[in-house]
Amino acid sequence: MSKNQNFEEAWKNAFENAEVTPSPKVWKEIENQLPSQSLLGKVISLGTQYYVAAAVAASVSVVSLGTYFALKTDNTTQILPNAVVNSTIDQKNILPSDNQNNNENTSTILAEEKSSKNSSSSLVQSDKENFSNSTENKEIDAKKTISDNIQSNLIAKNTKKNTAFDDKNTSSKNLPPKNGLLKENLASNDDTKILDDKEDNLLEEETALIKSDLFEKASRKSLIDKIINNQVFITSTPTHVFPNIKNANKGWKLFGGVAFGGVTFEPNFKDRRNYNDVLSNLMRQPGDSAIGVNNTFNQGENVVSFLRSVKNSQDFLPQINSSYSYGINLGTYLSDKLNVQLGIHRQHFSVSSYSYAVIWDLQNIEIIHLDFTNYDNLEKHQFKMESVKPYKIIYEYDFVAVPVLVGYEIMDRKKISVEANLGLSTQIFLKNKIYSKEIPANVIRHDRYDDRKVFENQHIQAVIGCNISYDLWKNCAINISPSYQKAITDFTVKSSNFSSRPAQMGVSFGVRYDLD
Amino acid sequence: MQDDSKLIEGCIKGDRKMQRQLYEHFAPRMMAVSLRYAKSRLEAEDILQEAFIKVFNKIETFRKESSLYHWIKTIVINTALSHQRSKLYQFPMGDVKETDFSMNEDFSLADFHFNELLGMIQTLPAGCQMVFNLYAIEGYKHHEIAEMLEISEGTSKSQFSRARVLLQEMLEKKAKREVNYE
Repeated sequence: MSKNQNFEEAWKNAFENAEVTPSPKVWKEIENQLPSQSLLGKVISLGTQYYVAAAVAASVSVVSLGTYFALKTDNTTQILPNAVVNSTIDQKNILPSDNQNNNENTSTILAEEKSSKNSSSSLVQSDKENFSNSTENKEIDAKKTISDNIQSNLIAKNTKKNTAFDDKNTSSKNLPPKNGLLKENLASNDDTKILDDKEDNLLEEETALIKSDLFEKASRKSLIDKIINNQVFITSTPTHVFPNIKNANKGWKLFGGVAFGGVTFEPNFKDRRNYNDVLSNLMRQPGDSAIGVNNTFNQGENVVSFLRSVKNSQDFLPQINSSYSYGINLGTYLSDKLNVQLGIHRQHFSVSSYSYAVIWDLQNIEIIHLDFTNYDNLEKHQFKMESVKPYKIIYEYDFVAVPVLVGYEIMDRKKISVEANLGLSTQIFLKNKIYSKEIPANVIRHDRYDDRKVFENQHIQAVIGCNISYDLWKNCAINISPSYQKAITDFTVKSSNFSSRPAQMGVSFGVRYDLD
Repeated sequence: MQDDSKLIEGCIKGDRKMQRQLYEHFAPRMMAVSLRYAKSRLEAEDILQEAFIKVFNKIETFRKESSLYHWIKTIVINTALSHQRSKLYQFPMGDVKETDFSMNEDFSLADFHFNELLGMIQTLPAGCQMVFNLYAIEGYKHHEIAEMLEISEGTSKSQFSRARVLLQEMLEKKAKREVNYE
């Protein structure tokens, strides 16, 4: 047997017949899922009588552009566990029992969107420096002084450590990773130990400062800030435009709509698991810009460097992608003031999120933003580091929306009418597609449909809003429709371990022209 | 444990007791499999959970062409790969520089604890981890792996080569440290 086969055979034998008992909750979760499996895939079928009305008729083109603002509440905001530099991970169950620093083996720092009400210590990404106000600049300047001091110490330390690394025969003199899989108990001299302790404290301090900076910025309420922090999305849909049908006094009135717009809703995923895997977290939520750092060996200084680079990054800018929807509505008055509308719309949403991650399992390696396939500079080091440039992940979702709305006329003046609307919309999920683009090259990396079955085949949204209509001339009116909509059933399947109830509030604008 | 066929029959009927029995019989070994593909125990349990749901949903399609164990293991591996596939969207594997791999003749993993070896595999980069598992432990060929992961055969080979180097380095470092302790 060749040496290579011996190596592979050894690994194969090591894991053959291996057994690890899963926790009892796994079976409980399976049990919970089993009865509901047969229900998945069913489509709510509505009465077909209204669909028959899709006969070719004089249709009206309505072009509307809507703006929806995501609302976050405490219940739905989040999400990921508090992620700090020294967070505990479950790898302690895997690692050797003699590892005494289980709770510091891996640190995962996640930057995510947050609301001000969420006071967890999770980081939030944002496009930082250019949009900060003067007050913040002053704070940042003050913090920079500390950072600079730390930086110079780090450079000195890195120089010392990298030199040690080049010596392959060096063992005990190497400064060890603080924690990690390959923990070392080194007997360093007192001076080095004191320096290390001091540096570690400074590192922790700076990490905390940067984290608080990011958190503070993400907590700002202003619209501009929300856009900057990717918490606001521009979207469009005619589903909840509530076109004025006050002229539909006789029978049913059919009208069609087309809408174009930008990025869509924020699902506010609530992750029921404790995610420690930064890569999975980066994909956890459409429209979410995330920064992930997976530090197996708890390299404090590298974490700080990374955070600093992220903080200064210009990469996290809000994006408006093309979304569109089109469809038809059918409505009629039930009484003088009460009307009912139902419709069917094909919706296409596009959401972007950015991911920017650095992953390393090395010690004392300065963060270098390499292309992820470039390992040439790292040959001298014992382990390999992966670092990737920002990627823009684009999610596209296709739905068929079937809204059923009841409208009540509040006011009807000569040219202006106001109507309140309330209803439900069944959103039937068709497909979603994920592709990524490397920034700044804008090269499409992958283009495929997502078969992960994360999303429910249908979910129901409750809609409440009003429609303000202004007649321009006899058959033409412009509409403004503020509305609030929230999913009352889950948007994602239970087995995906996500739960989400998308909520949005926004204003739609439209023009309506009646042909008959 | 009851005969496989009775278990299968009971699971097809939705007999919870049979389902539980099947789960309890195979779960420990499948957990060990999913741990090799996951980065954490939690993720491994998620994979295991999802895989067994698929097993129970698809149990009637089991054709007995292979053993039930291998059938379930295939589902676990495919589920694990699906989990990892999202990472591949973001960090697609590319060809890496192949390095020379030298190894001692008397190579042995006997001195290493199972958990240590598992931890080493888990710290591999995602692409290397998957390819290493599929090639070295499951026994797939590179062209099969290439098809499964939608990569080129060359990428599969280079990723495996890298995995080997990384694991070897980890083993040597660990062994050296053990010697220093003594």
